[in-house]
Amino acid sequence: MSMRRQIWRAHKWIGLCACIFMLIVSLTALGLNHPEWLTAERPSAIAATGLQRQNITALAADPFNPKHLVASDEHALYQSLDQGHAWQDLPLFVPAEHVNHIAFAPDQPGRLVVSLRDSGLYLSDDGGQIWEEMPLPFKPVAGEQIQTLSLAGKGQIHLKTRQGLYYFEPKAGWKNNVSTTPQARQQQETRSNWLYDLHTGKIFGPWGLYLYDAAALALIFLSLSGIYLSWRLMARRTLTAKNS
Amino acid sequence: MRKLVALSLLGWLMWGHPTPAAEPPTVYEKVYLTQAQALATVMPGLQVKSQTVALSAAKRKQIQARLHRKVPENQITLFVGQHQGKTERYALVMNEIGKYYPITFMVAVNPKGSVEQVVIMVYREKRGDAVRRGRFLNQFNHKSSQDALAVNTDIIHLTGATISSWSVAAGVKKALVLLEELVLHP
Repeated sequence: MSMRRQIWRAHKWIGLCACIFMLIVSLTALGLNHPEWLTAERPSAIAATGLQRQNITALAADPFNPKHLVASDEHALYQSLDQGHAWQDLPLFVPAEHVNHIAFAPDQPGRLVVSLRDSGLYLSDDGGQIWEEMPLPFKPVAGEQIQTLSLAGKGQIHLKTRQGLYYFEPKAGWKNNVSTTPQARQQQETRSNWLYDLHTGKIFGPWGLYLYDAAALALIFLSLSGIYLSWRLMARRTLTAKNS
Repeated sequence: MRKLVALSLLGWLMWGHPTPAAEPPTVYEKVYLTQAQALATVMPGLQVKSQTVALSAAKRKQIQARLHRKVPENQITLFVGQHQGKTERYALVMNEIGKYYPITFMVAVNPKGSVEQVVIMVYREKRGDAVRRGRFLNQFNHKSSQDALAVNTDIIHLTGATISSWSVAAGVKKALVLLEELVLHP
């Protein structure tokens, strides 16, 4: 087979693969531009089914009542009053998704804090019956997630995020020991917002969304018509080969 | 050479262009509806008056137990929409923390205690403003405090606006319980 023919064949197949890639990129761009099209799983499919012990993501024991345990899986919080034999839902007023740490206060009976990786800290003073959201000590920038926390005595909280460490004292509020400077955080936010605006078309104003939709639809058309033309060409060649 | 220039330009745009230094967190506040506009939207043609209702300690305890969350307010201000002296609708302005800043929205409820309409008034963050769209907000219509009103249970969140969806759902539930406990069945 001649070199030219080999290159032509490679070009054809790589082109087809690229078309599939373009389809994926275009369809995902449409989806990202219209988040309302992308709903979460249907509610019935993810209704709480109780704690699956193999799926526990965080667990803490009450220092004032060792039989009282609080645990979480990917979607909810649970408590046990008999050292983990039976579990019941512990309602939080927002979905307890991605709980990555649960901590009881060592000196205040009933006080516990849970951290949700993407949304923040929730505090309860009565063992988890009534909650309040704790204001975060930072404005989350893209990619900043809560990683872990620790409760010390006298209401002190230590919080670790991907950016650094924070420390809370009831009288003084939050102090930070972040590894990044405010300028760096601001730059990170600006860049992230710029990329987000460019990706979604918002950078071009209100018409950007429609511009991107048109481009995505054009790419989908080009990919599909390319696949069709390629298939037609192959079919014609096969027919010609058979006839000859 | 052209490629080099283009790549350098892209690199500068993405990583090197000057950014403001050490500014306070930016609020991307966008007012979609003023209070008057929101009231005109949720109570069209009704005569609107505002009313303040105080929370007693016992009521607060009851409400907190139902919501599983602290209610710091000492009183609430609600709007009553009347037609020929008959109350047709109530409305409450809620402020719920989103990712960092509060989302301000209005919940309109009929005298039977079910949601008639939810409208977003002010959104203050860069991402997640898709919660203002009818496709999301219409899910709350006709729901009452007896419904779970929780994302992943009877409300479907919007991808890209997950935490805002949680906040709006929690706020609507709070509005319904407050109205029910303080006005409809005190």
